[in-house]
Amino acid sequence: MSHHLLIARDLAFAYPDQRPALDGVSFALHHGEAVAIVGANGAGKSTLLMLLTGCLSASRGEVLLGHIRLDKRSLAAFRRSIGFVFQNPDDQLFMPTVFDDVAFGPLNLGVAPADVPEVVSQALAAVGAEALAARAPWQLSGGQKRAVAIAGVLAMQPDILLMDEPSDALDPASRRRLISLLQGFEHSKLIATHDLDLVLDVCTRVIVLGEGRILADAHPLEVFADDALLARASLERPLSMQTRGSAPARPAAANRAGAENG
Amino acid sequence: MSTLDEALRAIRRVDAFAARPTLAAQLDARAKVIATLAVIIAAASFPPHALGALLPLLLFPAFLLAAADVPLNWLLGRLLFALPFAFFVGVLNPWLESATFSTPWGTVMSSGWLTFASILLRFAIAVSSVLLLLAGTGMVAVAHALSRLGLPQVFANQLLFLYRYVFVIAEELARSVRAYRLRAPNTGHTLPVRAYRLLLQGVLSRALERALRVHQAMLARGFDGTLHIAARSSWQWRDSAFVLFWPAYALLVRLTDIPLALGRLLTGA
Repeated sequence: MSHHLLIARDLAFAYPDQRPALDGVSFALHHGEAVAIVGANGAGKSTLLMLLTGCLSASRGEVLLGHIRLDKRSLAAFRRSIGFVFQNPDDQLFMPTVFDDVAFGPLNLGVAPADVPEVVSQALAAVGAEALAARAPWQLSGGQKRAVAIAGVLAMQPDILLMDEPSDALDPASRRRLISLLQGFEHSKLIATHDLDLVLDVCTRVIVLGEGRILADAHPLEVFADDALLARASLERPLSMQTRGSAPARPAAANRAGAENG
Repeated sequence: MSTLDEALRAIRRVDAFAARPTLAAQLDARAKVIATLAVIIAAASFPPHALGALLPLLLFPAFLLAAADVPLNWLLGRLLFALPFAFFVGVLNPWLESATFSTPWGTVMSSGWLTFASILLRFAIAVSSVLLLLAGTGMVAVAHALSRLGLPQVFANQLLFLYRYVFVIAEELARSVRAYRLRAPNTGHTLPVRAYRLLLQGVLSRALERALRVHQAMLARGFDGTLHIAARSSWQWRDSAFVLFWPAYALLVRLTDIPLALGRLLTGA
């Protein structure tokens, strides 16, 4: 069993008004796998990512990283291994300068202060934001903030990258850079998104959420070819599939079933 | 742009000043904190009627102003904004103090005027020093320096979170006011009280939610209650010189009436 394996087992979560957000969600993320979580607004995508990172506690079920169960004692280990890019970069950018913000995670993880500038520089270079190092986050555009938020997580060199709507508010060039970045990130990725074209470019597997449950867990082409499933999940075929009328070019991928033991 | 947006931008300018590679920014934050505290303590320790003897302490904010490359009008604007506090602290002194003194023009005035002027001068020295410390260092670096100087981490974090969450609340309020105005174009410069009451209800709950997300984002990046920031430079000889010179200068000013001594020296009196 790979130590990068992230397992969600029978996860359930309800909002304070007892409205269920997730109910019985189980899947496994394997080493090097790129998995998309798609679904309509309110389907539970963000909630699932929050549960996997320990930002929220499940009312039922468990999360495992390899053989380690997520609990208070193991939370720090989870956060060392899992990088989480929040949906709104303004929630994530905390420090007065971009450099300080990207350095925040590595310093918390105990990276030697002398090594931090190099780590920060590499992370900013990965998202094409080297020139922003001295800028204040609030001075940046939406796309720049997104890039810096991603750099802040990449600088922690996580084994698993979780992203909540990473292409939201990005211009086409920034989105293309993000896709290249994600394709180049060789570790495991779990991406909650409405951008189904990004899914085709980056992911090898799609988990479709609807009303807090997994409606499907299959290869993107298989999912996006199923009109009934898309309608049930309030989704539409990716634009590139609609306009081309056929399957677009995409990275070769093995279809992994979503079963935990798959 | 709304007044709230402008106020937010004004506060954020402090961080923008601090992010530039100025002489002040290159000094270690601890050295600047120690020097600023020394000057403020020296200013506060003068007798109530001291006025001329306080003037040499203005050299410290003047130095920081130049070293941080901050526009004078920015500093004066912030000082004027805070001035009413000092004004109301001292404004009754001219009437409450019974002692009098003779001016060089032969008139007799209440000593309270001296006390009042002294309060305003001390206030100007202290507030401008702190503002310039922040403009040349940044709030986060100052909080970190205080922590490294022995302030319990919990207080340093309080400062830091207060600073962060002021923006969270203000941004939410600014967003709500903007949305209100766009759908109530006939509203004047000030919103009706009822509108503020309605806005505040929503703003506070949204600000709380957002504050939680900010905190979760910090935790997700390994924050464990201890603030770490990347040091841009290690302690250098110039920091030692700075931290030796300014407290010594403040002590000298406190113990010697320099303007009086200079006057005597020049006039031979």
